[in-house]
Amino acid sequence: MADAADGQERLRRLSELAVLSEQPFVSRVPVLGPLIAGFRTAWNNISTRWYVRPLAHQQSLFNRALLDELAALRAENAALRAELQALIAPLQEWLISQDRDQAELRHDLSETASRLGQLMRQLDRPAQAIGDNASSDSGDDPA
Amino acid sequence: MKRKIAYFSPLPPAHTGIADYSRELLPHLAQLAEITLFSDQHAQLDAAEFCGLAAFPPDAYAARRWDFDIAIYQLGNSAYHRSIGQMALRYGGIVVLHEYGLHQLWASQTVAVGDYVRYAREMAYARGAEGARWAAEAQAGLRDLPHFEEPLNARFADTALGILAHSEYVAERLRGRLPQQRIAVVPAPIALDESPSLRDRLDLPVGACLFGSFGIVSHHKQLEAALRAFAAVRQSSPNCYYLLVGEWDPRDVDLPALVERLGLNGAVRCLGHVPDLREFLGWLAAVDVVINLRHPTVGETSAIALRALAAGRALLVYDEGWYAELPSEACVKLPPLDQAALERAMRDLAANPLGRAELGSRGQRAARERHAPANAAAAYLAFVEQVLAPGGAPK
Repeated sequence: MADAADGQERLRRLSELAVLSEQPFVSRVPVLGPLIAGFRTAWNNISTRWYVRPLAHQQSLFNRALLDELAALRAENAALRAELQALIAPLQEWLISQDRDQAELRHDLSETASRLGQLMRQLDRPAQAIGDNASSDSGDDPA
Repeated sequence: MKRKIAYFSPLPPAHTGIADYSRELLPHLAQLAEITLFSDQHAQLDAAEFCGLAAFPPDAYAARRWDFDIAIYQLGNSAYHRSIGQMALRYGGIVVLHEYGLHQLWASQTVAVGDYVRYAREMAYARGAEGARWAAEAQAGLRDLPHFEEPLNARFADTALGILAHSEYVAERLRGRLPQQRIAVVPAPIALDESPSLRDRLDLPVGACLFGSFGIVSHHKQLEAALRAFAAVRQSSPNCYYLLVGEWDPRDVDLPALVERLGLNGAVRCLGHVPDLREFLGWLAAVDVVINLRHPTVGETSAIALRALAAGRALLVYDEGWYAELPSEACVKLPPLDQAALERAMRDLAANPLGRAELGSRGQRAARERHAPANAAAAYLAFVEQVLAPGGAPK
């Protein structure tokens, strides 16, 4: 959200700079300053104004078009992000639930392995006892 | 027939309180069950110290697991617990949580090596989508790792066949989340200690009161609060000194600068890390008052606090977490971060040698009655039987 707000603010500042406007001539020279500025304005009116004005206008149009395109791309990007998030969120939930299921299965496996181990040892004991008896019997065998 | 138990723990010479804990517990546990050790320190063990118990590296358990009735895993936050944690998650058994929060254990295996994917997975496991978002924000540098907001113990707790804790503080939190899990509280074992004091080495004036803090120094252990209170006490009782035993990370606590700033040069002695346990206990026996503050707490059991009680030292703690469950007559419990209360308690103890001695002997009695290693071993075995009881499956 903060990123979106920052982006809007940057676009607003860019749009303030998009339209080129003519700047009046000024001079800080004491006394003669207004005369100098007037002369420059007059010369500009004769030599460059009519050439530069259409160029500035064309550049302003271009800037505006570029800004509109940028805003459209931003909006599209935001829409895609939202769409992606909408796709990812359930996937993430699913992965989390799979992960938790896996932990539960590991627990159950440990529980089962523990029970199985105990049963195996219980089975081993009589078998071992039989084996012990058999060996002691064979030990007693005079043959 | 004795139960066959696979016992996973860091063991000496590993520099962790849990290694010492196992050293205290194992001789007693070995009288009640057939114990096989699984530890990264398996090749460095002093056989006599561990009653000649067989020892293997943790990953050797996979091939031998059918030989045992159950495995017990000692879990804490230090790097010594990485392989133990992996085996606990893979094969299950009884998990002993020495701290409620295991965030640091996970972070050291993930974030510390740049693996944010595994960190995010763990955060998401514990907290759902919010956890994944927190992990992403931490990776982007927008927030610190939420060590105290999220304990990251869920996967261990869910996978375990049973959980042992050393405090109701930890057990209650676990029961709240896992009402059907087998959970029990066992006393942390500590043997009474009569190590000879090394106080003479400090060359202190006669009648001096020596305060002390022990173990790794971090800002959570509120050493600055303790030293500020000490500086205030020293204004009225100049015959007081402070001993610091334990290493510190200069990026976390600039101890020399702190001592200098508080004008305590000459009154505070910093010994750094003391690797030998006998020497460590000798320094513990040298002090009159052990100051063992911790805030915030992640529900950890303090081996230092237990050793202070066992050594008959007067003990000052904050009244929260595991510390709140220490017997009130055995130590002084202060409201967390209450500087005036800390200063008052230190001043009272500095002025009252008899009171210090009485508090110490009450603490030693409590250690003997509640934390005897034989009692802890019996409680372990009772829990093993509970977990292995037929039809005792809680889930």
